[in-house]
Amino acid sequence: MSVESGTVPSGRPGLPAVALRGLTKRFGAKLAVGGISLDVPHGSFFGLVGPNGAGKTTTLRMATGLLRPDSGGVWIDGLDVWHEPVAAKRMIGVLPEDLHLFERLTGAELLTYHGLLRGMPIAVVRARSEELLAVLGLVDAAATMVVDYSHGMRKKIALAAAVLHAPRVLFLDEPFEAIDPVSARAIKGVLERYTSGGATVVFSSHVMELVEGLCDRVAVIHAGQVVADGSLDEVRGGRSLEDAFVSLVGGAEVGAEGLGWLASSSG
Amino acid sequence: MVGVFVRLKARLIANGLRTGGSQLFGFVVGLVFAVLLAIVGFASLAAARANPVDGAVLTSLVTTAMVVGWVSFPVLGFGSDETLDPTRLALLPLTRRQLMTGLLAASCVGVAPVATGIALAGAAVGFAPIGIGAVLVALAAALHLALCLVLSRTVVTALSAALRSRRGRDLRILLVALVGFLPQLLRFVTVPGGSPGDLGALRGTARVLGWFPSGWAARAMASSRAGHLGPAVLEIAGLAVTIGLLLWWWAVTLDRLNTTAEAGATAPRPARRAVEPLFGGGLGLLPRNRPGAVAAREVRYSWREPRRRVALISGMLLPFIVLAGVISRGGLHHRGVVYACLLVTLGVGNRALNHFGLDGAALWVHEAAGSDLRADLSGKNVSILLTTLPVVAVTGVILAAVSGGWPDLAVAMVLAVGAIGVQLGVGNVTSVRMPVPVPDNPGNLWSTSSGQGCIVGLLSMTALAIEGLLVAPVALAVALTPSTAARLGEAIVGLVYAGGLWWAGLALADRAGRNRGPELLEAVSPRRAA
Repeated sequence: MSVESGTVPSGRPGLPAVALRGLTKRFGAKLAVGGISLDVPHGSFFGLVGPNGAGKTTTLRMATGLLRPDSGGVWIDGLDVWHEPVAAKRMIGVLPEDLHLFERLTGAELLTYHGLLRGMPIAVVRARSEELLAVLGLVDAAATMVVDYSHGMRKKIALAAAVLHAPRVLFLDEPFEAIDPVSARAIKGVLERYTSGGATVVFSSHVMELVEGLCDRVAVIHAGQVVADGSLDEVRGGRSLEDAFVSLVGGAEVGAEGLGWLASSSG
Repeated sequence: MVGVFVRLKARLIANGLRTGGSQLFGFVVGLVFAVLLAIVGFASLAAARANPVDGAVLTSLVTTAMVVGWVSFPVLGFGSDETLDPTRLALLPLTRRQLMTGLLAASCVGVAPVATGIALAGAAVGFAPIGIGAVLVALAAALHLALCLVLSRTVVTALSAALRSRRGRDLRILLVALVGFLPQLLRFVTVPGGSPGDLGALRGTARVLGWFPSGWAARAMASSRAGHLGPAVLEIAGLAVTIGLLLWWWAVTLDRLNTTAEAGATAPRPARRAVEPLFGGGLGLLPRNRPGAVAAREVRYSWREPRRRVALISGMLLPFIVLAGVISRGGLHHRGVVYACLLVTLGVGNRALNHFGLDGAALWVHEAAGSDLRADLSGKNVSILLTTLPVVAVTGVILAAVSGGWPDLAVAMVLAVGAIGVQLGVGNVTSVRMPVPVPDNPGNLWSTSSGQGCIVGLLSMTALAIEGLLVAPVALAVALTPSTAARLGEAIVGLVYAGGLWWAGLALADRAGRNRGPELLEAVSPRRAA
């Protein structure tokens, strides 16, 4: 399903929800992303996996219009993110990895703020905020400043802010990183509810079990390149995703040699 | 173990210097101050040789000041010395004795302990008689240094949890800023009294200071010199007992700190519902759209965000300085004194210079929602108007009341709005054209990223000069017009002119920033690793 770099999608019917073409980004001498092209079909739960430093976050930042690529383009449902930014951004929601929020607002204030920034009517913002706070278990913390939230609470409020305007495509960067199981289940619940309506989720992770459990399509990124792309079964090729991943990115197996002292430690 | 801690502290200082920039600057400033204090301290103690009475008073003041400094500096600058936080070492297999001796040894390394030691060495010149008294003076000086070290560690350990909490850090930023602001305030408030060389007025103070352990070393020195060896021994013994008690308290708090969980900083506060989020508390009139939301957030941030709270409080203190200045110059009966309220608007220029730098990495929220600089800057400008104008108005009313210059109050208010508008207009352009990241580092008193303090200063001065040029024609016209009614007319024309400048600034900023959102975000975000 991977598309040749350089071909630009055109014509609305049958368009992918997200199309990346030849995305490249260089930071000084380091090539962070070296020409990534991907298609994300509508209604898919798309996993972007790769080791640390593979270029996942950089790719997502370019795909969401937050970081200008050196070359290449991004289309959301046929709309060019870098040439029609306002219309394209209306269709996407973003949960970034580093969770920089206006954290001196309370949870409820933060949602109101995000809603009004996106030009939503205040009544809709209020109704949806209350519902989201309730579903994510944040009602008691609604009047607490986000700076005082735990990591899991921050992820949840950031997710609520990302879905508030009911975007067609949701980009999540490591949404389950350092999250307790209860918060993780709340987040999964919201995401499942969200995709059941035909919306698209693109999320990055290096937790293979999560990707296997949630995603129907996967792309493996390594050193700024797509090394595998397709349905979960295609990429796995009969193995576990973790085995497939390690063989694709060439991780070193810890063998019997060395570290002998570790096995003999007696405490 | 002592050697390990000493090397650790030395290494931390050296590495801090190697990172250069603000840390190096902080070190150099600290060094200059330390050298000055060492000289002043040494001279004060040594002065007792020539003038025993005044020397004793000086010694009492200086030694007490040492203790106050040793307690307050680590508390205000907690985080600048990484060995200060004992919880960092909690996981290492160290006995309490090893930890305490190690931390104390680490305390002895650095600029401050050396400076304190040099200052105390002045006692050898000022007080030392021949014989056993000399030993007592040396002992008193040594124990005083020990008191400083132990008390400083004990207080920091006892307050450690509070200092690490978010509220503690916020409060510290405020205190540090206000301490910096204090001298300016005092310059206007203090009434000049006796001559500088006269220490007689301070004798009472020195006697009171002598009641506390921080003053016992000074008393012991004076007693030794006078040949009263009995009282001197008692005072030194008292000092030793105090140090012992502090060590015991420190040990207890160390154990408690390293074995108990921190109080829940995230404990949810009882929800205060029924208030509309973001627009409660007097902001109900703001429109429920993007500019309105930005304005409401900025007003909340001006109080909730510690660096901006500093700016706001300094802005609120400014009127008092203006008032004190007016009173001290005997200008109360001059009607034109009402215009002094315009000085309060001067703080706006700096607050408006770098709008997006204060948002920092959170600016992605605006970019992800689709960039709209015109809306965002308008909201930010409204918030500055809302937080500045009341202070100007109150100052103006007070000045009018004391001087009887009511007729000029309206003119001054119209001019104030105009002056704020011009500064906002210039600030909008600089905010987009020259965004500067503002690092969020509460442990660092010189909180600008390396090498940028100078640029920010230049930018700020250039902007002030431009604003001055833009405001000058109106100011000149008003100043030269005798009739109040005519002045009001000119002020209103000036307001229209300022409105035009503000509008032009907004349009220029909008045009300069169009489609440059990601670059703006990049410019104000802390440097990220690729």
